[in-house]
Amino acid sequence: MREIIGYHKVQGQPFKAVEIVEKVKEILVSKEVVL
Amino acid sequence: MEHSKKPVSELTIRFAGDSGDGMQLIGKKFSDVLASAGMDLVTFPDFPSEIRAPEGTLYGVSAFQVRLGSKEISTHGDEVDVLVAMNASSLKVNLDQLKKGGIIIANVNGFDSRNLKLAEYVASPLEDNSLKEYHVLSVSMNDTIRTALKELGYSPKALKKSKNFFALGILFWLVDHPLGQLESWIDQKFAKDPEAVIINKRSLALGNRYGEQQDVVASQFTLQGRSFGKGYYRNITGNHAVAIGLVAAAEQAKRPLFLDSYPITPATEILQYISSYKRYGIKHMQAEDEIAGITSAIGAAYGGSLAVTTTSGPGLSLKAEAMGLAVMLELPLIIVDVMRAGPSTGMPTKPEQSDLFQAMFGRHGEAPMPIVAASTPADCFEMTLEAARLAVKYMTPVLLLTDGYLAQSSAPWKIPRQEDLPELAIDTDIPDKDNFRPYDRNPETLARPWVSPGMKGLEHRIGGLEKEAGSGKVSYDAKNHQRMTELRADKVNGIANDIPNATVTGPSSGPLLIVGWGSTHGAISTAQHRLADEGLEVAHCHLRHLNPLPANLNEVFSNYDQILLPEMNMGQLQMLLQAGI
Repeated sequence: MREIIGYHKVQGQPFKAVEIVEKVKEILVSKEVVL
Repeated sequence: MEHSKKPVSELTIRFAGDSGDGMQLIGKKFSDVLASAGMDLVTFPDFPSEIRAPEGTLYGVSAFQVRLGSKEISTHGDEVDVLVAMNASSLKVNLDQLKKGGIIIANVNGFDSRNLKLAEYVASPLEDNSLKEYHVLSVSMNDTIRTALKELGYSPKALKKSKNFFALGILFWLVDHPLGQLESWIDQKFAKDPEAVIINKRSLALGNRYGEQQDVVASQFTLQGRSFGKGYYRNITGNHAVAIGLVAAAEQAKRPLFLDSYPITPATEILQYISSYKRYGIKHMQAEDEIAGITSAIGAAYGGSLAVTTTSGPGLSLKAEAMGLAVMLELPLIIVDVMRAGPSTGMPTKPEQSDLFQAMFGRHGEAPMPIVAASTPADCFEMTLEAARLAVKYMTPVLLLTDGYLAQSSAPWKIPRQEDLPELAIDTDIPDKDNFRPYDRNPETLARPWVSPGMKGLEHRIGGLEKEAGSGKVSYDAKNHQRMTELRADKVNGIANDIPNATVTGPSSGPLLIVGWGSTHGAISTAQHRLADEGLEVAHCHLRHLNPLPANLNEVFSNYDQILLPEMNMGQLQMLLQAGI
């Protein structure tokens, strides 16, 4: 099993779509930097 | 004033006020009326745990958010277009959710010196120019109602209670929707209180007329209904969908439904809804505690009923010992856990996904149990049927996980036809009744037969002590215990061959796969579409079966460079997947 990037929110509120959009961009951009 | 009409494809409105201001009521009715007009929508009731927090305080604010659309809507919205603020605290708590340029509809009577002090404002935000980035519609709702209805002679207290309908009247003007359906509902809802009917309808009309006459908001928003597929639809919450799903499951299984639960937020509504379906022969009880709820359900399962108990996190802890009993007895049982923020009492009205470890491991001994999870309010119906299917086919207790968000939010649901529902086949075949053995197993499912008591020749004992394989006699034999433990585990693991493979929306391979479960579905799905609009194609895989997991999951994961898993917990599914469980 490959590594899974967790995104944990325990604030008594559901995720907002914008939070996931930003997290995805952060991951994809950090990958570009590594490459 | 003449107002223009501005077509929009979506609109997010948040009703916010004091806990006693009736925000949940008008938010729900606003949503129901617009859903019946064909809008797609998702709602989000957001209220404190206290039955009645001190009036006017910041922590007493109750809100209801709805996102409407003429296109597919999957979440309640990240930003709010219109904020109704019935007092100073509700503005302070919710202002950061309003988009710049958004509309505030404020009840000036809720911004007096006392309310401002409770909201910790030094000066009124309605007067100090701090809201200059918004369109602020300030109206003294209480005063307007009192003045307009003065000649009717009603008490100030009765008039004050109708200010939520005044606000609702403005909203109906803002979305350019007629009042007729709502007025009919008021007639029915308050039929035993003619005074309330008159006051609420007049306040509604007053608010609507105020919208027509004001000059702060220049345009009404017009939304077209979404094009849904052919069929009958209704707006439904997750809790209601679970209740209807249980009724449907019992019909499909041709077994009586028995539900026994102890009331606990946010699961209580399932018990309440079930009580309104007594015409289907349902037996239900409000138990004296959580343990009584599950043990009576186990007894009902032994008696041949499709048995259910519902709860939330702390209640699931209390049921743990009896869940082990259900595993040992190998009887079908549905346990619904509507998860809330914990531990302990935690935040009862707020959602979390933090019971997964408890569902997976929270029992003594080796007590594996299938776990399924619903992803939308409508999916609560589907997964309730799935939980019932697994329970009766494999003779096992099954955990259905939902959460406070799914339970209380609502969305359109296509009402299925009964002939389209799956048959819940129950294996009643006893091959050799003369040599009946209660723990002989179906070779395919490893399920033992479900035999109701009182059938001649099929007498058998059950209990928490270990059973001898086949005969079901009490056994302390070491090798038998090993064998039975493995059989119970193999039975649950074998379900992996009887559930759908994991599927993906978006690219079948690529740089990133977003994995989700439960109520994160809407946010992930919306994020996926937004990213695609920006040229970033990512995939989404949403898991509905958590134990066992779909058999092809590793194969799916291998197609992507990276995997992201958003969860409303500290990484419980992440840890299970990483551990290869």
